[in-house]
Amino acid sequence: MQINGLFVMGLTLLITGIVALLLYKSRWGLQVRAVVSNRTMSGAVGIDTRRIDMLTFGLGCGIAGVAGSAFTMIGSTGPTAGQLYIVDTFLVVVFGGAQSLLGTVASAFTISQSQSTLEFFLTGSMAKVLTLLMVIGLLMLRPQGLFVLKVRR
Amino acid sequence: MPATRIDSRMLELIGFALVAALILLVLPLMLDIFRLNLVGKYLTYAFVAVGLVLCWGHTGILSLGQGVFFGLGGYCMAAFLKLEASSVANTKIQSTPGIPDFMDWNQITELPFFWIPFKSLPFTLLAVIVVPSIAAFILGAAMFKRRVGGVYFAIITQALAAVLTILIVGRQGYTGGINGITDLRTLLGLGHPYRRRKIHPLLRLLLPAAGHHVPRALRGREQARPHPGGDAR
Repeated sequence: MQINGLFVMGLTLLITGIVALLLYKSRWGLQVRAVVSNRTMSGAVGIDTRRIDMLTFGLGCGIAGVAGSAFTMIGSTGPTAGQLYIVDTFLVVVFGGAQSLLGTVASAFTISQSQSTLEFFLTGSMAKVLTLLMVIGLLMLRPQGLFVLKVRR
Repeated sequence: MPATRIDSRMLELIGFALVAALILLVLPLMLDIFRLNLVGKYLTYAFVAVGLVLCWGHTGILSLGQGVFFGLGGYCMAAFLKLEASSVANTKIQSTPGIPDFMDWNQITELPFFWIPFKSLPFTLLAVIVVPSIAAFILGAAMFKRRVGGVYFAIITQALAAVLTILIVGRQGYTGGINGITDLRTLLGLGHPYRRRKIHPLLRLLLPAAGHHVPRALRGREQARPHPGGDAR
């Protein structure tokens, strides 16, 4: 169990590193960031925005596949396995600020840590409820997330 | 063009009359009880769909937690039906007769205070409308006052649905847990729909709700609704 957990942790670090490298060091990443900040203008300077959309969507879904394969090592696999985690996933992404990779990492760490800490004091379900409610409350106060890039609308 | 307006109004009325005749006469006469119950179930889902059309289609507020309000109304009604089914005579084999069976299984020895009002049908019928409305009002006030909109609204409602599910499953002594509230028998002594043929799809008639033209007027005028749902971009 410990080895599985450590392996998944290592895999997570690796994937995060690769995504960060792709986003901030490669030509494709530069184009993605250009399209995010101003789609019309990026199209005008010759970036094929639809191709970037396709590649980004494909990469995102591919990472979800890697996550699923890693998940089978620590949880049971079934047709509803994804549904349990999709709410957490959305909250992590929105809480960290949807455009920020660093924010996602930080918010994933915060949410999971606060949940396991609360589980120590309360029952598992109440810990989960409290964590989700806190995140919802914080999102209402700060709907743009923790880390925000300056984006030209 | 007054002539065409009258025509479309007439067509609408004829359409409603046909649907009403189908639901109130044709289906009850032609289907067996099992299938009739299925139709009733689909019609209740249609109510939820109408709510979604109103929220999302007409005003652009995408609520992924619509099931929360569906469930709140459902649990209110189920609480009444369960209390009626758990009369002392029906539950005398329990260690505490007169309380719902799942409470007895969870070592609860008296009815929780928030279950007691559901012994009365008028209160229940009122609660079926008031409880989801109050919940939705609190949620809406908290979100729209702060201009939480679009994808954030959707995700927050989805998270609230998850919170409620976890809460209900976690507190099974008070809510019936993952099994829900089961083995409902009668409504004021009348057969429960599963036992006897009742025309509960009657409710369907209430559906062409008055006043659905107001939000429709909002659609298309983006300045009129700066906060919720899809942006003007």
